[in-house]
Amino acid sequence: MTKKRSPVNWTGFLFFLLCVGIVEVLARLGWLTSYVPPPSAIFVALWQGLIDGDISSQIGNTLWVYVQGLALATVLAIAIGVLMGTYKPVYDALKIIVEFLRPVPSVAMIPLAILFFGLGTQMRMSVVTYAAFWPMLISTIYGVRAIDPQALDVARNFGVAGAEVLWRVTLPSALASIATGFRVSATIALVVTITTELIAGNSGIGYYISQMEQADRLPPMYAAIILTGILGYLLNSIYFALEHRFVFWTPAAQERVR
Amino acid sequence: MASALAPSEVILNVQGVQKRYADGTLAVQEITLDVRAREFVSIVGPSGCGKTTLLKTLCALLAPTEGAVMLHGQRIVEPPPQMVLVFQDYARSLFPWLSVYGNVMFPLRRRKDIAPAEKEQMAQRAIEAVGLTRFSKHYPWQLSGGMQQRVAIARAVAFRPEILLLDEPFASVDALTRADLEDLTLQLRNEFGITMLLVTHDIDEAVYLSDRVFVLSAPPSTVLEEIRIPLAQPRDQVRTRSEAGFLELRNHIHGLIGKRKDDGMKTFSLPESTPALTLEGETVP
Amino acid sequence: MNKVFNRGNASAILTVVVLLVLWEVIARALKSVYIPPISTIAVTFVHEWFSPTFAQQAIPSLYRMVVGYFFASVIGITIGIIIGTFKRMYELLDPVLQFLRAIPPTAIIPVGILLIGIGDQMKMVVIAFGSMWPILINAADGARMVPAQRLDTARIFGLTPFETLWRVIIPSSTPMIASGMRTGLSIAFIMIVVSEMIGSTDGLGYYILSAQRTFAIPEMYGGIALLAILGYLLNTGFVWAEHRVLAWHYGQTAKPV
Repeated sequence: MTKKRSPVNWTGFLFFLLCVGIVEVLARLGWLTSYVPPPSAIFVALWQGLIDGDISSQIGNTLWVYVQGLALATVLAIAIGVLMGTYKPVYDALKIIVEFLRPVPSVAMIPLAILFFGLGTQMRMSVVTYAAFWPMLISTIYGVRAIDPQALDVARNFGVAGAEVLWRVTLPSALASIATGFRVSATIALVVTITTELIAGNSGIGYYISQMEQADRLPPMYAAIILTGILGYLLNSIYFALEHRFVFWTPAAQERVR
Repeated sequence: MASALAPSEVILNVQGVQKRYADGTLAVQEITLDVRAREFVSIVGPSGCGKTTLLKTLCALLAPTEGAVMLHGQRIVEPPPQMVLVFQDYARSLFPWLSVYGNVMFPLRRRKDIAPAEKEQMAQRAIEAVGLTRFSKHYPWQLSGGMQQRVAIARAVAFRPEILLLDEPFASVDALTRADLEDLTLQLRNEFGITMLLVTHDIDEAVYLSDRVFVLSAPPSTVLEEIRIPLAQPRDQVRTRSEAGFLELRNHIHGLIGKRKDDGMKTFSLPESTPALTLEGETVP
Repeated sequence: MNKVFNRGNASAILTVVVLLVLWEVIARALKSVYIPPISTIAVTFVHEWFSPTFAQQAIPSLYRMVVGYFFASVIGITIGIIIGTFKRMYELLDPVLQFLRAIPPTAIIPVGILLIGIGDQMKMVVIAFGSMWPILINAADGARMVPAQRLDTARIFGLTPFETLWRVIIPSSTPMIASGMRTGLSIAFIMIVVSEMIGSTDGLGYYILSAQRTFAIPEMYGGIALLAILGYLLNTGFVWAEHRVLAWHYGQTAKPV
């Protein structure tokens, strides 16, 4: 009983353009505070920043910190997560630490990181790793524990043992859960990267935003802010596509819409 | 006990109802039938013949594309308080945040015309009628499937409707529970005088329960036949189902549904020489 | 109470104790300013936080966070339920909402400072903006995903649209709203710390950062520890409250039907 609907949401898209248009008109008429420039100016600033390299170089800096922080978090989370998920003694020993460290906002670690690493990419990377670590740890543990015991039995039946079981049975089964955790971690990683740049950075998009704010150059500032949203959206789409390609056997991946 | 076969007035009149989905497919081509007070009427048909859609149209949850549904001679456009529909999927229609009592009271709470004490009584009586008094304070998810369906039925009965529409209500429960629930609906009809309109794919169930059965064709559906069920009252799971008439009726319906769509509607009646059945003062229209 | 002292918890507690002891020993050996011994941190912690400092630094943070979170919840739930109930509105607003929610709320802080200045309002607004989205989206999803049979049941019993909203749609959506509110709470907590690090003269975020800058290292660790404790209490408190209010939901999902 479904209506035939166009997959693209035209009404919504048009409404979006309408809102942008209204803001444009209001800004040009001077009805909005001078702190909100017209969207056209923002768009121009974005375009120029990308071409000139002001913004594009900062994107590179941000991604540099982001990728490394996320990669390290992934490796650590999966390693520790598999151990905790498979061996109850390990889980028992570490669970209080996890329960207490997890709710600490990663940004609270920034002063600590500055203490040890000064201001710079290493400081930011460490905070990003800390932040991105937890969601993936939890979902790895969950994924490992949720493994169908039959799969393990079958493997043992075929003579697979020890470390090989981990590699050939446990990890692939848990992959779906790990993938979901990864997406959450990746989102957090980007936000944290930019946040640390805002608070105490010397490069990156967040740093650029605070620089532009201090220099009262508003269109580039807004441009960079919007860019972070776009960046997040693009990265998320890539991860969805990768997940669909590599973890295609789960129902969740198969019915992906966004 | 007044026999439901005794003639009573027609209260629901379905005239040439057609239902076409938004995407153009014709679910129900043309349905014409009537329902009399305190009757037990079943609608059977092959799967996909739009039985659920028809039932929803009958209580005005959906609007017919053509034709009309008349209740007491008035055309209905909004779900009328005299009709309540019980869904097949009880889990999705019951409210999990309310207890059994809460669920049954739910439709009564908004009725300003009834005193609170009386509302309570109506709810309690309905819960009692379905045999769940001990479970009043339980939550739906704590009960088995059959019991949950009883809650849904109790909720409908507490509202004191004239007509209870049941959309394959026993399809999701096991066979033993189904027998209990079938007898429950007969009992409710007798005790509260509620007219029953049951949609089912289970032909045996339809024949067992009903005074009349309407057989629908494959989609786009029409009424293939209207069949009187003159089996003895009160019905009994063992005795009724072993009557010769029972087998003949069900086999006949099975044959109909296996066939392709007929043109025109027929009425069927047993040959008068059949023993163990008496059609007292009944004329076949 | 027997459950608390089983083997699993014993090893957990043991691990923590061992780590703390290690920290103490290594710190005393290293004598580094950056790694004070646990005992020093503990003393500083008690000294700082069981004193007026708590009222001066922690209370303002909590106050701003609670107010911001409150508005985020009220606005998020209201708008979410409305757009979830009216499918057309949902379609219309969807791209705009997706766009706004994609922007990391911390990146909005400079805008907030420009528009509202440095003060309590800025922080509350920024917190509200950031924590509103999971609540709004979840409320909308909750309202959208009310089973059709429940809505039909409401119509059959003659409920007015308002009654349906109040007695069916909203109760039905509460599990999803609660889930969104839990996420929103974590975000609010993060936002208060960040906003106080960027533009503030008091508050826990400011406290930790300035402790680092003035090399009051034990105080810095103490502040971080306080944040950890507050975060844990907030989260646990929320889950506890949620399990009580939504007992029906947890009972339902736990039991195999």
